[in-house]
Amino acid sequence: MNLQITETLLSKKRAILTLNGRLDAVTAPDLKAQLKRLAKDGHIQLIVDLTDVPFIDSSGLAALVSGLKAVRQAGGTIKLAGLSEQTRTVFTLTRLDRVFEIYPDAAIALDTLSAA
Amino acid sequence: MKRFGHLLKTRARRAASLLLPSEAEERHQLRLWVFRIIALANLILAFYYIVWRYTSSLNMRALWFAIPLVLAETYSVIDTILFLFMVWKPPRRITPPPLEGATADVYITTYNEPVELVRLTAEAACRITWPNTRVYVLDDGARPAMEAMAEELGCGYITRGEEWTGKPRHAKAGNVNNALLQTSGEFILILDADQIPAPQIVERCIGYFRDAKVAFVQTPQYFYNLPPGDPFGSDAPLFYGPIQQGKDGWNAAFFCGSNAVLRREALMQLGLTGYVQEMEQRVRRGLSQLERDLTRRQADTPAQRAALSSLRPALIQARQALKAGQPLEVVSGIVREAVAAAQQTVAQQDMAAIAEDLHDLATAGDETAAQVRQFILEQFPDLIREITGTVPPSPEAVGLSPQAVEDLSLTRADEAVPVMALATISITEDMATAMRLHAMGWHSVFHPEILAYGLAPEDLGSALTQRLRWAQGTIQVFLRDNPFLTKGLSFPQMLQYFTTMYSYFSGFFSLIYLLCPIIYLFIGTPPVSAWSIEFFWRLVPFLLLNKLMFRYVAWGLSVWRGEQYSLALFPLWIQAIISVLTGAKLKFVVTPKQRQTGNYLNLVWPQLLIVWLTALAIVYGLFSLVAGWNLQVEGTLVNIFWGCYNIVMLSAIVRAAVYKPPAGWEARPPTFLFPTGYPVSQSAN
Repeated sequence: MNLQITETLLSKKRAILTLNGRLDAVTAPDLKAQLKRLAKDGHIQLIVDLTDVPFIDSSGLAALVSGLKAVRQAGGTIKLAGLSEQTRTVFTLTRLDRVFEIYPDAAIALDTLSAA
Repeated sequence: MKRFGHLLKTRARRAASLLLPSEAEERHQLRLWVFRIIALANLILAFYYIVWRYTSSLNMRALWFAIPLVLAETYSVIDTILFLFMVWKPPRRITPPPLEGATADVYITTYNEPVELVRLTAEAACRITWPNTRVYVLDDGARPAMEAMAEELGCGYITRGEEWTGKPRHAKAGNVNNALLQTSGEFILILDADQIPAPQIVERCIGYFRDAKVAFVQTPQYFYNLPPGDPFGSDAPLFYGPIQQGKDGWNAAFFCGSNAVLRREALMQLGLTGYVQEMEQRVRRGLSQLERDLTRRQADTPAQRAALSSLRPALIQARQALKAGQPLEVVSGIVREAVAAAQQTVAQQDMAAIAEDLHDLATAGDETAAQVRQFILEQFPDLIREITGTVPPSPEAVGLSPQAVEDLSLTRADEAVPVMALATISITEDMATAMRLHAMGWHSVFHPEILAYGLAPEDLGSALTQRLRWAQGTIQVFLRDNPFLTKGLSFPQMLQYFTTMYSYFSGFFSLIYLLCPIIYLFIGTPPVSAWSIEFFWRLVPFLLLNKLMFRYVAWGLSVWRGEQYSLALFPLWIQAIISVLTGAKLKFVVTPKQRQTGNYLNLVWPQLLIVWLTALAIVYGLFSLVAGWNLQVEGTLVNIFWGCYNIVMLSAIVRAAVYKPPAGWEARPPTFLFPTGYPVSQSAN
């Protein structure tokens, strides 16, 4: 049960990360590292597509929040898309759904980026 | 008609077999003592010979030749000793009065046999006279036609349920284990698909269970389809007679997988004990793995590091509980709680990190982040509980092996049914099952009366397949469930199991015996220091008495074919041992019940090669004698005789390879099993 992270670079600033698999203590460090690297390289308008993430735990949340911090410091943002039932519950529970902008799918999230 | 004549003759011959249940006490005693005198004399002669072979007759100039031969001879002497011990005190079994009121289930196990063959067995089973009997067809092939047949006869029909999907099926043992959980008779008669029972089979066996310690009663296997002369050596009168009787004398009768009545309670106890042992093994394995995880795993995050170190005291505590003999549930509980606590630790660390990051975001001006941070800090304990509640436990999350946590959960998720009564470690489940029952202190009985009539393989290919399976299974049991390491077996019981396993190692030594005359006749180097008078004096009486003893034990049973096959099957025995030792995957092969057509000379090429080489060596030896090159007349003559003997022994299997039954020959089960005639569809066949 590894996590697959597919990185699609749209422009110098924009990228979509499509995740596939469990986002838990085992896989979270990878995501965290990748988000930091993207921020450092100037990709600071990020969309993380969670459609195929059936499961997220506290470590997964921590990775996303730390990524958000890194991107924000560089002046950008992270938008989330396509939360499954379990992931949504965890976000609501911790009220992190208010910290992140969350969209039904990656296409809509992308539109909001373009509109901005 | 001719065939029935043959059948009657066999039955008459069987009646003369050693120690039938009816035999008079004095006669039993007399035969036994005569046997013991012959046996002791044989033992003395064996030592007289073998000690001399080691001390004064090795050919020191050709040790490469002398040593293999003397090793083979040592193997044979040990084989003889084990045999003598085995048949030393056969009991005199008298059919006890039946155990009134006992209930019996008849299991007919089938996988791919034709419906009409199973019908014979099922019909006869329905005629079993015991009042509280219910017949079940255990169809591992789940065939609609089989189900219809069972329904027509009013038999129960059992197949594997949903729970077996994707789980190991364990062949016949799994089939029986599955049925055990669905029927309720106190005793279970197990019949292979082709084993047609006599009506009185349950009645005759059930009385032995008055002794509450008896776990099973085994009866002989008898084949009604043996072609004249038994070309494939299927008949095993020595095994289903003196050998099993001898083992019975040491409370070590073998369960042979069919034609036996078993006590459900014993099987269930075996299953439960096996289950508990398995669980204990798993808990130990799980604990060890977790301990390794703690020392070896590199924690990826500070959270994991904290979680892992919180586990350490719990594992020490669990170890101590296990040592102190606390219930497995307690041991497992300690670890499970600790794993849950570790997961909480991870969640706490993660949420603390999130709060810290939110603080930084808030400082940068994100008001929502400040509110959420406030919320998280206020609700911290509740949040941790809820978040770990929402998230299914994931051992990896705290850096642990999932298998270890699974082991400690005390479930048996990888098996379809948790309680496996019949042993599943081997492709011959019966031997392992009996051995475990004996180790638990259960008793066993061999009832030497033919009460079921079955089919032997009708071609050499099938016969060899079956033998190979038995040999591989026995050696597998020897390696995985070594009798000498099995707690609870008495020493004689250990020896009984060992004797059978030992006999399968004969292949290597048979090969030496077969090669000796060839080598000698061609190169003239003898494996012994001299073909002297003393050599014959020591060898010939031993050999003759040895043959006499076997004949006496067999008492009129025909054992010649069996002797031929035990030597001639040497490539098969060697193949069996090598395949098991090299760990080649073994398959439970259902012995084909119909004659497969074809010529099987390709299966006996090693034997053919030995026959040709021996014949060549004999011709060469004779020629060299006549031509006067060779002055060792005695040696040459002895080896020519030995070579001829070997050819005769191997001839049976070579002939079997091209055997065709006489025209019009067809086997039918004895008529008395079917008083109202054979099932209609059978004669239409």
